[in-house]
Amino acid sequence: MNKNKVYLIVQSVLCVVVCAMLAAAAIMIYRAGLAQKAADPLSWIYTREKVAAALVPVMPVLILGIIVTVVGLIMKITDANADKPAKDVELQRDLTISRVASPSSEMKAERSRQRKLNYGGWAAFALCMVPILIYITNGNHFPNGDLEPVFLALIAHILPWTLIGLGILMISTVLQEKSMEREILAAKEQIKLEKAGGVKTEADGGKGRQAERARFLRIALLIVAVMMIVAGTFNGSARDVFGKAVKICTECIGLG
Amino acid sequence: MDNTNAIGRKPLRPSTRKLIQLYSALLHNAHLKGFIDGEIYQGSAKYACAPGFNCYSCPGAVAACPLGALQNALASSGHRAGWYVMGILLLFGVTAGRTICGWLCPLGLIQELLNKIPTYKIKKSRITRVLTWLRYVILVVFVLAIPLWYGLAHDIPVPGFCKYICPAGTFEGAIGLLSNPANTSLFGMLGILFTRKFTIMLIIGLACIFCYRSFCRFICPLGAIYGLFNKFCLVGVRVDQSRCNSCGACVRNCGMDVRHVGDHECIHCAKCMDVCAQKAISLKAGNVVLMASEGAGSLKADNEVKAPAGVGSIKAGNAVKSPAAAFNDKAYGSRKKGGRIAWGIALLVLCAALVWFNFLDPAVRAETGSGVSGQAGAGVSNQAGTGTEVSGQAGTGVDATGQAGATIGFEPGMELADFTMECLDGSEFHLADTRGKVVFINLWATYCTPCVQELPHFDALYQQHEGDIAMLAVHSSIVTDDPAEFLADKGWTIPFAVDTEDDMLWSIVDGSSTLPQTIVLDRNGVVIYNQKGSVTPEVLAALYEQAAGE
Repeated sequence: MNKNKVYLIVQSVLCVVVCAMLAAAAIMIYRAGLAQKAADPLSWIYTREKVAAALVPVMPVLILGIIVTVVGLIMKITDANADKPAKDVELQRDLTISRVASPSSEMKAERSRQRKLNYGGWAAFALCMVPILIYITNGNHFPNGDLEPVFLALIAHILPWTLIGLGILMISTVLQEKSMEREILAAKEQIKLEKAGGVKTEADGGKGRQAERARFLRIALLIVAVMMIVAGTFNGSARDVFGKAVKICTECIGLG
Repeated sequence: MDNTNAIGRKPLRPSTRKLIQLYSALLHNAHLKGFIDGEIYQGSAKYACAPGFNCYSCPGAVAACPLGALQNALASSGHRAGWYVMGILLLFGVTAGRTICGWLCPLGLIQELLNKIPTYKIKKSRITRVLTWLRYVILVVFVLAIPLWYGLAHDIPVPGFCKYICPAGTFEGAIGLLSNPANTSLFGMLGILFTRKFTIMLIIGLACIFCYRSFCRFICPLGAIYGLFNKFCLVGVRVDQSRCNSCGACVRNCGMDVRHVGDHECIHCAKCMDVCAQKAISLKAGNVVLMASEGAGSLKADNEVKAPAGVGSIKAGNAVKSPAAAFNDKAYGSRKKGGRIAWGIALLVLCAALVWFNFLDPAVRAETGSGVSGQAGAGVSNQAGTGTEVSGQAGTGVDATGQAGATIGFEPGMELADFTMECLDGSEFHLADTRGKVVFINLWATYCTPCVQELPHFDALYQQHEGDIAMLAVHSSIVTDDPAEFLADKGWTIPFAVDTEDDMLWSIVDGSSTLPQTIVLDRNGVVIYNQKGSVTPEVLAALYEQAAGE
């Protein structure tokens, strides 16, 4: 086996092992601490000593990982595949059809199919978001100010719908790409025909107008932004930002 | 037809970006003193939001996190609209869009460094492209819906994204603070939340090692917001259509899930400039070219570049130069000179920021000048009228039994210095009058979620042991909402007060920038508990029993 491959496998495994060991250490400290806390509510789940003890078995693997990383960086070992350009059917399609003067009926049909698949995919994704929105806007699911006890239920209602939505989008993308591949073939045929007939493509003339619109939008939004900042300074929301930023919100950073 | 630049990569450009990222990370975290002291910066620069993703509870952070501030603003929208944060986000979006992600974001730098670890890499594909929409789900649910809902319905600021996902908060904030020996007391509040967030941080970190900028591409709601402005933002990469021959090398070689240069996934990192043989891509601010390939940037050069179609037409370095090539060299030279001047100014700014945020800022000087015992001493002498010195030292020679003569201080075993506070209901709380009772003092703020969540437990305990317990909940002197108005409909019976402008009570009990904090005194006025972090009803009951000597 190639030396680079062996290195990459070892390094990849080391990274996974270090992270798994760190996560396991945290979970073990938590579980042991929880049992201790049940007996004595004033006891601490995590202490510096417990963390130090839990890190002892992780350290050798971590140090090994660091050494292997340094060696890899010095020897400039990289995943050769990572530097290769990605295969992008959509891009290839765009590039190919940019050379077509007038699309053939086959190309138009494929394009229409892609449009339908695209809209269909997004409509399905939007539909999947509806149960999530219904769930999160129903106050009965959040009976008091504490999100913690209902958090798992929240995730259980969000995650499946999100996964289904993304899955449908993925299927729609795959089908669109199949259609794009067919469109590329049709476009290539069309290019051949047009070349034979001596037809030339037209230049895009809409770029100037787009730039003008972007400039106008930018200036308008900049004015709105400045107005909002000034309004916020006077209505006290600037002080809100300051008040929150100068105190450590223990919950926000995961302390508890 | 891949016209990937045959001339090769210019090593200067990527390293220039890395230097700018490093520079930005340093500027975002210029309060280096905080890493030594284990305290966060509390100066007025925190009125401003940083453009990049940088936790404001990081000891080095000198500005507020835009995403944290947005969640807080949404949670407070029942009281006032968060125009300020929204205006700042709009300003950042319109001026730079996702250029911030590519050039300024400290978390982006961390992700790229993690990705440098030589392992197998997962390339972008249709799966990663679809996963990018996850960011928008996270934006809607965790950044918008949860804070809005809890803010409006329960008047409690719940920062959904910070609390459950944000790896920057765990890495920069929690671990940044916990790793400092001065913050050992923070370990007392770690529990399920930390375990969960630490595990999430590890998973995201691991994903970043194997997949380029995973957090940025699939999770980051700030990137999702900035991405909305990407097409018309002032600073960003632009494609000169007159030069572009649509080879697609830019998109195929990009690590992000872009479909076109400058779309909502593009972070304007300008790496595509290296692979564009036509030199059609440049980094621009409006019409001003900030960065372009050598030989690009002039329309006069178009003919020369385009004439013989294909690779190898750019021969700017050849011995015989056309007038167009000479013009290009001149433009490139002037940009290089401009770059050097910009770097000089930037370094001066950084030096000034480091000096200001570590030595000169009034907030930093206040910390350095007084320290814990100094602050407390100043606050107490007025109140106690005895000039008693409050000591923050661990109680050597302390009478732990609480006999008369115990050292005045805030650590367990010491006696709190006497004080009087005017409560919101007009009554007065005088510590000396509470002798014989168990005393609970709670430090809180309306904008602190765990503080507001634990107050009902205090109220329940207060009612349960009425007559045997003295309790005072003191709001931080930093007031964003009127505490009296906030408490009006809560029905809590605990005496509430707001700390004085000079943080008198904070000084006496060693209050810090960490909220909430609970201090418990036994019947003799001796401190038995002084901890940061929220408490459960079980802990409160145990503390009461311990203090009451039951």
